[in-house]
Amino acid sequence: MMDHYDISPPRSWRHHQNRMDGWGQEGTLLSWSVVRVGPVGLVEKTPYVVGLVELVQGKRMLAQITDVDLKDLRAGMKCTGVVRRLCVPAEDQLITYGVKFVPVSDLQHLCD
Amino acid sequence: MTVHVTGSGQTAFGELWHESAESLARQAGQEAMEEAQVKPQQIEAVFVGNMLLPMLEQRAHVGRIVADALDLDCPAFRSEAACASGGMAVHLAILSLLAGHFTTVLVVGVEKMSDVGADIIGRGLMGAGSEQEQLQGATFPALYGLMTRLYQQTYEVSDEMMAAQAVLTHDHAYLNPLAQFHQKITITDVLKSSMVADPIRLLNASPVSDGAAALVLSTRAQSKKDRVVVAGMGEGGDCLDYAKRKAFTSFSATKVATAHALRQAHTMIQEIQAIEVHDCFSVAQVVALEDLGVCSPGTGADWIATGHGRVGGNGLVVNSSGGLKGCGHPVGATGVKQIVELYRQLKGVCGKRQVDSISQGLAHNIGGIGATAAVTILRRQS
Repeated sequence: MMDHYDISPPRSWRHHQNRMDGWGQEGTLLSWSVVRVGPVGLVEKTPYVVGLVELVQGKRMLAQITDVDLKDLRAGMKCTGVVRRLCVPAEDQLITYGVKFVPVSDLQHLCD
Repeated sequence: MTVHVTGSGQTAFGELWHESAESLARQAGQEAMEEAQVKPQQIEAVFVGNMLLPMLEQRAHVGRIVADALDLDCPAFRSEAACASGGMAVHLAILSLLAGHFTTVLVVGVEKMSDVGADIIGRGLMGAGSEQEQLQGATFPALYGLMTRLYQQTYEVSDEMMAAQAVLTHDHAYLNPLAQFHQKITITDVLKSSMVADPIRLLNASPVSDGAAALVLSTRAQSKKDRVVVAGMGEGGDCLDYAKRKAFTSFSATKVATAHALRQAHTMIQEIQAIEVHDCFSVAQVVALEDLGVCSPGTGADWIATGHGRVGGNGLVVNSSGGLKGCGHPVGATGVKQIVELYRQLKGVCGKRQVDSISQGLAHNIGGIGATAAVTILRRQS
């Protein structure tokens, strides 16, 4: 029975580079969904937001949107990629990191 | 060479606590063989559609598990293509017949999902997406939720119009004794149901289901009249990662598979009387109608909301079985069940949900979020 979500250390290491796509980059939120029924490893994190983000360079990626009030979510929202934990650590205590996006405040965006 | 459908079987779909994957497969397979009037020793191979058994029960060699359940000594093949596992199992079986390798085979689609909780099912189904999507916690309802929001924004479609899909499929499921749900619902019911992954609500989504469906396929015709044959089939593929798609409100895999199947069958979508489409979520059915060529882009929801697609109506009937939403969605069984439903419609044995004057039917089965598509066209030969 799959009662926790395990990512082995070598697998985490292999995919580390890909998972850091979007780090420090700005993007625009195209669409999103608020996950209310979470999968193993993320049940404790619900509700969380999964967004489709278009980076400034035109590449699109799917990532969680965090540090955001749900009522502030809107298409066209500017956001930036930051490193965060991706899921609750499994029994081996390996912490899986990846890029999530946080909103860029209008003021901060103007300063940039 | 022509491939004939000579027998069909289907268990009830639902939360069947007393049934195992083996018992479900056995019931559906035996029913199909009895209808086809073939003995087990006449089955040369069994093709199995299944996605989750290795993940949920840590059991492999799934083809063999099903063959053993049916006391078949023949070789067994397993197809795994996420929610298109069943449709692709049928296509692999047809290819083996067309190649002349076998003359009579059994296809069984089976899934046992209700033993575990929603968190485990959610994680298991996410296995069909890209690794990036899995790590970011993009469940299937979340991916289709993203798609729903984009679709509604792009084409200015209301929640009420999207909800009409669920009402239609429950109305049809009400007429199907084997369906998981026999409760009619209203648009208000859909809009008041709990949120699963905004903007997708519980009644916009297909359920967790147990069930099995089976077909006997043969290059030998069973009888001279009222034969049901495979007129055409096509498959399509797209990248796993939804964010890397060229289009977000349609599935190119469906378009490719449909074009291939229609061309092979020398027919047009307008000449088909019944379709079984992959409505895992409301938006999936709406987009499928557009990708299949039934409606133009952006009009699928309105087409359903204005009363089209109904049994007893004047035109094309959509998901007479109740679809994935109303009949249930045991993922490995779904693609086989769609073809079982069309076969029975073409045989004229569907009772209250019988489609009038049907001569051709089309099944549309997709896996991942439109990453694999299998389209199959059946035809009655009088």
